[in-house]
Amino acid sequence: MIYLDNAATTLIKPREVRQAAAAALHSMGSPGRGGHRFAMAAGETAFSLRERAAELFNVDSPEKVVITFNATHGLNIAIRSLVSDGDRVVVTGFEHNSVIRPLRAAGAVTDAAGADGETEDLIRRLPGSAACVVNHVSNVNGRILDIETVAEACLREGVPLVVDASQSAGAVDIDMKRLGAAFIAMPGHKGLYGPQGTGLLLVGRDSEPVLYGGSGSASLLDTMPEELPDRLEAGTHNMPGIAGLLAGIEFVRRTGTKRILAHERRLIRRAAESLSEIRGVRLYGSGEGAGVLSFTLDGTEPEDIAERLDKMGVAVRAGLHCAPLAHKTLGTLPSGTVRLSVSAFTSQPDIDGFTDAVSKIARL
Amino acid sequence: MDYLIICRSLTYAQRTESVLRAGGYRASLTRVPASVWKEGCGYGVKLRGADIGRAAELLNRRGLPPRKVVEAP
Repeated sequence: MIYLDNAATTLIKPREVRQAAAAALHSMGSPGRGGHRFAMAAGETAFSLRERAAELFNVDSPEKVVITFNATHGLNIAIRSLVSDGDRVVVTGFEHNSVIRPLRAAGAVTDAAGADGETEDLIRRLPGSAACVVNHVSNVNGRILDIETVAEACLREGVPLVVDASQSAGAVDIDMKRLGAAFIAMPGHKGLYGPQGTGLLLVGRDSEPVLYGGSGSASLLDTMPEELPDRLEAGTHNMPGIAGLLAGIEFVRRTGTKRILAHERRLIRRAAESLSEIRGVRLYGSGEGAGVLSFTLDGTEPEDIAERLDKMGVAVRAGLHCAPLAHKTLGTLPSGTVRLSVSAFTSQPDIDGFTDAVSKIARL
Repeated sequence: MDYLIICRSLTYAQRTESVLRAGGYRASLTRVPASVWKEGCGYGVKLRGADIGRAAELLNRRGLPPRKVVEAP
């Protein structure tokens, strides 16, 4: 099988990730719950994850690395911490529902920048807004936002910045200190090569929990403790996931995000070149972004293409990719696109096998 | 003399232990007994045979002021 749905989940993981997750199942208790060796082993692993992530993303202190269930969980915390009913919030035209739905639930009015001159348009909308919540890399076409320029403008205007790093973490450099962001949310199971059910929230300012419960600390209080990370980590931790994510982050640090991005870009460029030679194909994205590319084929529904590709041994994702705003921006509503997304483990023969298959479908 | 440095959370205790060990102290993570910590369930760092004043100074410099220090039970 050729697996090209890495923007949803990187299915092929480093061997160390599988080993670490499996070992945790029988060697780790719950961090912060007890002083016995199994609880302490879990505590050491969770702390190592915070330290390694703090180094990778230049966070000034490991307790500001909060372990979440996924990026959506982190984005919900960030939005609840910053946004009140009636607030105007600046977003890009590429936001995922993990941003749009929590904003709607908070009663915010979203003010979306256009795709043309995106950075300038975003900055123009900042004055008077309650927050700026931005998609770093699009999960539809792989475009990379000029996050440094947006962050500088947010600091200048005093607007808290939230970065959805779902597609960028592990492939594009992220520097929490330099950006001065209020929050950066990311999943563990995509570009950080951890198991599903893991994520990280980098915290740069006061925060409000979305879950309340046991934290293993200050147990006589009937409120969540003020201290991070306990304030935002109620309930039992996913230790197999955390151990796997630690191994995934070590893989990314060893390999290097620049090298991973260069590899992914080479593959996306190759796919774009081959697809552009097929009659009726329209491309959304290029080899200048991250490892994501979308396309449509005139006269064939994206879902039909994906179904045929699956039968031919190629896994891609079709439809709206939980990002209807992005498809509105790209003009690909209501059917969406077919998306291919690569990882550090995708090879050139994978890409060639995929484009051959699309070629065959186009000739039918 | 041995001391028990009481910390705000497990993560703070882990950072405290790490900073003290790197500073050459004999420090080890431990649970805090309810008799010395009234907020319930806490972690601390046991410091063996050290000058607590200098250790506290080091922790303050690293942004980890001890919440409470008692003689180790």
